[in-house]
Amino acid sequence: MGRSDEEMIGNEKISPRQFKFLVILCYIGTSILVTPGNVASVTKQDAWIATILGVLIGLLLVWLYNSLGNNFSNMTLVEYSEKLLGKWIGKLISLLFILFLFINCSTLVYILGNFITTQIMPETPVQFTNIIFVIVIIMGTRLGLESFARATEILYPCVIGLFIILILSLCKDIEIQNIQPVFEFGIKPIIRGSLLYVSYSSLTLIALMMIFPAYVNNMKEAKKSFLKGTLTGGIIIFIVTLLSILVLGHDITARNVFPVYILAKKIHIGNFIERIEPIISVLWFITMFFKTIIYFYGATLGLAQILKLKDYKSLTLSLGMILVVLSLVVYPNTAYADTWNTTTWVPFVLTYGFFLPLLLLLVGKVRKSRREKN
Amino acid sequence: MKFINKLFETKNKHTKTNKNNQLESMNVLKSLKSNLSENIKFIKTAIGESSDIVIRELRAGEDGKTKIGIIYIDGLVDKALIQDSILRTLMLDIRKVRVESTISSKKKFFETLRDFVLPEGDMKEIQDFECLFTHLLSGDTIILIDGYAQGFAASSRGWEDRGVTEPNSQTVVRGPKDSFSETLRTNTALLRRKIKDTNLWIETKPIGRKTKTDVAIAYINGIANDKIVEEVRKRLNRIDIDGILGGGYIEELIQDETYTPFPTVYNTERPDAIAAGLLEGRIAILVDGTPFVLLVPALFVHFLQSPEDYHQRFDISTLIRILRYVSFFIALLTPSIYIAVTTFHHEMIPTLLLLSIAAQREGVPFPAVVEALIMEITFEILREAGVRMPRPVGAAISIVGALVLGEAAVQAGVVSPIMVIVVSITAISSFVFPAYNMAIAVRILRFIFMMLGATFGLYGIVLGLIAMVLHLCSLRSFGISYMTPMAPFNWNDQKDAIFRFPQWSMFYRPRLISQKDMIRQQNPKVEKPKPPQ
Amino acid sequence: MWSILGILTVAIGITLYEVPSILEKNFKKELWVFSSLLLFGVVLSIIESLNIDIPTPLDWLAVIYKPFTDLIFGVLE
Repeated sequence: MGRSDEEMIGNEKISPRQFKFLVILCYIGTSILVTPGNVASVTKQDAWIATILGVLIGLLLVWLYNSLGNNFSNMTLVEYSEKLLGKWIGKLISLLFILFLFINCSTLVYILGNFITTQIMPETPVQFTNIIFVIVIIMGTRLGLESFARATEILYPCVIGLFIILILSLCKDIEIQNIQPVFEFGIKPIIRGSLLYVSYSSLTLIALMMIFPAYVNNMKEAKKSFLKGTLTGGIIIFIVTLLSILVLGHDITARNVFPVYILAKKIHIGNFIERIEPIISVLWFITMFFKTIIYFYGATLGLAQILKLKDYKSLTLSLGMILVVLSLVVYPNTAYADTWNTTTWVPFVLTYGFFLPLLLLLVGKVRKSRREKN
Repeated sequence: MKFINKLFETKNKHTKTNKNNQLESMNVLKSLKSNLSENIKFIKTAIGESSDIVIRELRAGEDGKTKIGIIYIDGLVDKALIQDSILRTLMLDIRKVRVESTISSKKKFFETLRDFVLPEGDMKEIQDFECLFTHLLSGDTIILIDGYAQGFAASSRGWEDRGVTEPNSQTVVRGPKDSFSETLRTNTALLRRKIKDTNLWIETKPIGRKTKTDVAIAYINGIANDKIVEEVRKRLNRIDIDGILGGGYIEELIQDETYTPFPTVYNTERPDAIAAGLLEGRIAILVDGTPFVLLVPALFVHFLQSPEDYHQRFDISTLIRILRYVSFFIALLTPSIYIAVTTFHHEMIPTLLLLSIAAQREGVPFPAVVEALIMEITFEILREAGVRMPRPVGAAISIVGALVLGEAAVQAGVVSPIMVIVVSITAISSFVFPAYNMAIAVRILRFIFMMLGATFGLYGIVLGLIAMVLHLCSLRSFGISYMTPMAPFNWNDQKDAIFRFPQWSMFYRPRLISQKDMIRQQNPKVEKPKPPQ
Repeated sequence: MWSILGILTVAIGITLYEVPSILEKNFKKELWVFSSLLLFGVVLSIIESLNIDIPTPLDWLAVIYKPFTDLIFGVLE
């Protein structure tokens, strides 16, 4: 067993294993809930092929992030862009990045709040669901990276456990013909579907560049964990999408916002274990929680680093308040959310998830070769 | 001794106006006088007219010219020992020694007494009043000799003690049944009986300005982590309080975080549990006057382990441990899940049960959460009353509690029967914990979860659990993360966390506590016991 | 009305909780940033609780990114 434990007193770093769990939870955060519906609406019954393609693209992206991480082993993305691009341009780009993180964070809170108030507890006003969610996020951020990284080691097995229960209970409802005909509409829809899928799974991993590689032990293991995490996340999403198509058929999958919830509703064991979908939804609470806290932590830490503050903790409460309001405001309604998520969101996240690291990598290479020439 | 002087000197700067410390400040400056009567007068003034102090003056030597004073506190000393070893020697046996011939050199008389004459096991020389009073009040006999500015403190402790009895709190079916008592020396002896290793080091220091309680740190040098030992010493030295009356005082003063319901210091009455902890590299803190010994660092898994686990086979121990973890969640979450499910998530209950519950709750005027709160608070009151009530009344009250409150409340329609079941299961589960302080944490958190369940249903409970996990993961016990070995995860340590693997497979000590001397058993390659061929 | 009071109470609570620890460490910059963010948050919350429409930043982003959106989805159509 590799040396994946933390040091004892006074450590600021997390272990590669904890980082791997963070990667997985960030990857499947939203995608485990929305991927089947979102992708199937474009690719119909070939959605599972799109997820395979998406994972491969994701691994390439992580390879890009790893190469970028090579250039700075103890700085976060924000600090590095400032160092590389100079004070003003660097700070500007970092600020835009932080805004990206923050806005994305508020959409995550919206999605969870929306899910709760439409599916599980319709009587509760959405403000309160969001408020207590943000309170726990603030608490986790204030307790520090090591704390919520350690929490993943306890909560990730719960996620996997619930996932396995979901899969196993539905195995008997599989109808193979739901997958057919394969490749009915050709490759183009599959590419579009996989692009959508990548946009909210792998591209969103850029937020982890605020943690990797600055706060992770053992650079080599950390890079491997990044890849391993992405692969594991991809497998999970693949299974969920495949199952959704096999059990529900592509029509129902495509029509619903949360088809996986419908999957959970179908669990029926014996005569008394039925309608236990609130328990399965615990899975989504946990994954959404960690994705949100990674984004919130990234935004708060980034802001503190731009402004050269000594401690990011003092910002958490005020930013949390803004987060709550933004989450209520950001999507006026579900239809708007749907449209925006399938159109503007893609280039938006591409800018920060692909072009930004590419830019930093290229500028870094140019600078290095210039320095070597001198 | 110098340390005590320094401690008192620095205190004098802060407590100039405190009259009580005037005497103590005088002590530092005053060393013993040569004149016996002056010394005795000073002692009488200092201790007031306390009736339990005995001052005996006698004359020793061949012609009875040397005056010697014996001072002790009645009740703290073993009087037979004083009579036999000290008084008899000084009054009778010393006549056989030619004292006058050695009196030419003053020092020699003193040394003669010390080395030659007094058959006392533990003797210390004292030169000032501070030392004198410390020894006197601990039960030692003071021997002062006229003409010498030094004296002896002979150990003669012997007070009424409870003796080594059965432990009251952590009882086991199989295993040693001795428990610590209130005397520090008895306790350290019990530890030494368990661990006969030269590396078991015991350091004692008095803590508490007025009580001067002896507090001892025990650890096995070479296994225990030096940094933690140093940390424990540092924190104990930092304590500046009037009195230490029990382990709980020390626990609160040295623990890492104050604002958490979860305990970070383990305490037990059983020597075998402490000895096992020492062998793992942890450090024991023994406090004079209480049978509960503290053990640090203490992690979450330790509070759900019982010494019994090691005295029974591994299969039943593993299952019972898993049962304890299940009980943890039952005790924590049952009322809140009941409230959440009946208020928000009716669809989760199987239909037949749902109808039954609905019928029961028909006649109850309160919503589920109020009902639950009433029952829980009533049960807490019953529990507290059960601890405090005098024995003759005990049986009657428990009958009243169980029958009257439970049954009658249901009959009256104040609560529903299923609520009584829920509360009883919760209460019984909370007694499963071997460690009382963890049970307290669960009792407090239960109410928070009830509130969350009532307002936000299952969503609130899950958020509460996530918040609790985050909180637990942020705790540290003396520098070690509280949730080790679950987070950060360690494969080897899993053998003794939730499961208990057989003894022959536990090769290494827990990793994060002690980094040295990892091997418990000689040969890791030793296979399990084989039957004879 | 009540919601505004509630928001102000929360803001005061946050201030009481956070400011002493900032002040004792003498972080001037933190104090400024904290106060301005808190003020912004309070203002936003009050506007939101009065049910006045706040423009969503996503609208602006949609406008900025329009050419790219058309490009990407045109290629893949």
